[in-house]
Amino acid sequence: MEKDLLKLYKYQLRRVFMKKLIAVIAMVCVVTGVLFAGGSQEDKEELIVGTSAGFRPFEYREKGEVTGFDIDLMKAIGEELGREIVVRDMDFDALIEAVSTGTIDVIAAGMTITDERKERVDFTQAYFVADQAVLVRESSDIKLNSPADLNNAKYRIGVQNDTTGAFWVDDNAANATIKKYGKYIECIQDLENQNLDIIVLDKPVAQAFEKNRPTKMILVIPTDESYGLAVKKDSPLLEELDKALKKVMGSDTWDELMATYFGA
Amino acid sequence: MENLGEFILYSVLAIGKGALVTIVVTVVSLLLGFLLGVPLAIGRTYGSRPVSFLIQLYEGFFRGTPHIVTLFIFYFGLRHVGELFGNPAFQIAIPPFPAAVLALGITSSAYQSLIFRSTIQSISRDQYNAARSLGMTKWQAIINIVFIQALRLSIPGLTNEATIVLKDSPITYLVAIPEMLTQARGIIDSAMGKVFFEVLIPVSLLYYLLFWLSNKLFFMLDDKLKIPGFELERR
Repeated sequence: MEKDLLKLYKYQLRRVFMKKLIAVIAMVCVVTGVLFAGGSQEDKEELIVGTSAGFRPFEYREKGEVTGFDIDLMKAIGEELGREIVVRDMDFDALIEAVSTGTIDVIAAGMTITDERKERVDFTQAYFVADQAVLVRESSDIKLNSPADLNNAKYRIGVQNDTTGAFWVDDNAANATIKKYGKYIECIQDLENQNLDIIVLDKPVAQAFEKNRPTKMILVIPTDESYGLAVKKDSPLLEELDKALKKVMGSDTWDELMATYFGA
Repeated sequence: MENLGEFILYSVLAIGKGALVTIVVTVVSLLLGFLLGVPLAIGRTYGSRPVSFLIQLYEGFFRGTPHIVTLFIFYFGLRHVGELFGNPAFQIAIPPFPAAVLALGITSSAYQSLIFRSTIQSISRDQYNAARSLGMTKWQAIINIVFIQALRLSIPGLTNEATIVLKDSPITYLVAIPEMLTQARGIIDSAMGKVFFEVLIPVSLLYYLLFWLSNKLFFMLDDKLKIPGFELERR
């Protein structure tokens, strides 16, 4: 009698659990299957482009999609190479690790060519030259005569992690309070909240913020930086990219790009 | 943001897509955690000393290190394994989605293992002995008698674990998974920060909704599996 009860109980439990478990597992398998299958039905070989949106006008989001000068440039280059461009948006400070481990193929993120970075990645020829700029609140009465004035303990300066702006303030404004953020948008937010006095960032981006947010650019720091596309060290892709970039820069597409994003 | 209506439409679409990704990431991670957590818990309770010790190490490692580190190990770190053996060409390349799910799932398995261990231990040892005396083998007794009851008692613990994984899922942003919070940040970015809490608050309400739904599901499961008058009862 007891043995029968035990058997019955065992059977019931097992039936209920197993059915549910199998149903749930099957459902999840189907869903992930669909998710994976979705991305891999292209004939063209993919070129995975890593970027960090929030760097207007080079890369930003519009209508939910990442767009901008760098993205359009990569699309033109992709056409030259006959490859499909896939954009992956991540934090700026993760890009170098991502490209050197091969999780992305190329960085197009307004990245300045520096010697430190060259130790980890290879750059194409420069495609843009920019300076750094100082951005403050519209109502701010901060006056700077030269970049050296930034090295003052009373200023709280915001920068984005791992950018040339961050390197510059580390080297030249060590007396100020330096705060590092993941995205420039967060700097702007903190500037408006009066937690920052100054943001140091690339001039074209500063101009874009000046137009759209209650901020003003009060000083240009002449750093004469060149932006390049970055690939993994010793990658055969470098030569192809360089060739395609040169071709695009000599074409009408380039003039159109400049006109669209910089009105020049 | 010239057109407010269009902006809202695209925002809602983006967040909806993000919500789907969040759900898939959470469910797959939880299932992986479950599939790994069960044998871990059984091994920890019934395994030999070395087995139990190794499992303890595993649990300790994944519970004791930040999720971000685990995620980076699976996404970036495994590509460096070749260098350890002097063969840099050898890489284990995991695409973003599997890497994110592995990191969250394995972390969850360490927590779930603990949940199951506590409930397995709450089933009286006499039941196991009785099952053995009825002629069941060790594994028959563990699985059919002890674990199957423990599983039912684990539901409250699993309810909690599900919400924890749900709210851990935004870290997958770091490997470019377009989940809900990433989409929200993208929207803030596309409006150049002109909206901020206008986006974050509706998104957190959506997280709350998902949390509520998962809780509801687990409670329904609990109710369904409850045996009236038998043993422990909820409430």
